[in-house]
Amino acid sequence: MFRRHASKYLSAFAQGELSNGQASSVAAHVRSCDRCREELDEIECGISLAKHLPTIPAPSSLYSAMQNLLQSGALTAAGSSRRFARRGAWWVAVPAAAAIIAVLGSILWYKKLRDPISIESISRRPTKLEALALDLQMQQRYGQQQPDFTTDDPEALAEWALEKTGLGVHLADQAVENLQEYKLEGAKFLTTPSGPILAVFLRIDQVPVTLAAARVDALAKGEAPSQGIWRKKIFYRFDSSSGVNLLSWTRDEQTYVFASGLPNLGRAACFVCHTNARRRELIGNAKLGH
Amino acid sequence: MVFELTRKLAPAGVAGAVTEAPNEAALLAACQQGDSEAFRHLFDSHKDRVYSLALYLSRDEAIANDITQQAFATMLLKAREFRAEAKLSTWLYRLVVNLCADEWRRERKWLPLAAARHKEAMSEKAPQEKSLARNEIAQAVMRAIESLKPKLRATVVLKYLEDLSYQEISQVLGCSMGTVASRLNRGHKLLARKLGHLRPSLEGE
Repeated sequence: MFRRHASKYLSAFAQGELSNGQASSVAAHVRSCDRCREELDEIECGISLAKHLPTIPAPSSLYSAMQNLLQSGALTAAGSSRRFARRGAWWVAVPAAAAIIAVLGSILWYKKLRDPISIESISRRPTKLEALALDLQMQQRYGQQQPDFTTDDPEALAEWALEKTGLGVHLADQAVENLQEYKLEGAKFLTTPSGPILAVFLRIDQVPVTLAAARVDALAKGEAPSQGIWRKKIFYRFDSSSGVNLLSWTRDEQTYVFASGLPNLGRAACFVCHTNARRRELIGNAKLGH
Repeated sequence: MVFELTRKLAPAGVAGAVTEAPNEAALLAACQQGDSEAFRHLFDSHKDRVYSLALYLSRDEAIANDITQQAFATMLLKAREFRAEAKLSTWLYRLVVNLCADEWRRERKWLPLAAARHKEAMSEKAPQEKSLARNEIAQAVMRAIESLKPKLRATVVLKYLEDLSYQEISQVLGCSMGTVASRLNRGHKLLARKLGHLRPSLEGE
């Protein structure tokens, strides 16, 4: 039932939040796995401690403050409608709201309906980040890569990455997005003289995928791919000696490379962040230009 | 393995679900019409837990005071949005979490809660818990929970202060039950690692 360990189910198991079938499976696994038994013991210690968290009584002065509000009539249905009615000045508010809606509507139209994305094939020398992503991908492919931080939880990864490298990496929540074919395995960080580089290891449909990320200023000047002004630019390179697809892009002062053997330029890797159906369609249909 | 947590909400028609909620809905309707007794009843039933939640999340007494008042004021102003089949407490907690998030976005900083206030709280809250060891554990737990990151802290506080199920916590925080389970897993481990030395004092409980 569990490929490796039952870690992510242990708190829910200890607190009776799992269904009967799942609880039996976890119990059976814990009996036969020393690591999960130790982890469960640690979690039970945490639960015993957390139960000591006391309620702090509200100060007695709070009620009199609330009573004043009540007596003023400001919090009754009638009082609140009078209060809002007195605000008036609708002749200012309505045109202002209409102008804001028009501007927001235009932005939304541009972002949602057009939202241009271009994928451009590149032949220039690989950047430092592309070369590193390719190396890491080959190591991952041949099982030579050991993450510094092993996790299948995107939120835990984001916290770890931010703490260790100051880089923001926000992958989709697998449980919410129901992406069974996508599995996060872990990450590591590399220290370079110009700044930290984060490498994230995952699998999509069992295919190893490497994501390398760094701040734009960690690369030589002009080396990071252009972000694009009117179109979000994604750059594509195929490494023929290894059969690896490399996708590079820059966003919000961070630059990224996906390296994988996934088909169709490896663009399915983008879906671990882009969970919006429209966005996926745009990425999926973007034509390769030169 | 798909993460399927059990749904702990009472099914429709269960006694607990149909006796408590309509009373609170009726009280809410009454205090919307200016019935101060009805408001007093609701306020007294929920004030300590609402204030505690605000205080643990904000770590600032003045902010917790404001947020508690705002939560009850919003409760009255938006009483019509309250669904009778829901629990008033869950709705209030959601208001508190949202207000705290707004405050956090505005200020971007919250100060640690004064230790003196903790001591006062402990003696007010649990006069029967005279045991020094228990007080020490509770204070250590408060400090450890204060040091957690906001999302983790909110999840742990809702679980242990309010005794909410994973399903209810996910509703209050607007995240999946898998995320709640994952955050509690991390919270439990961090507490155990920080306060593992207190373990002998927990034995026999």
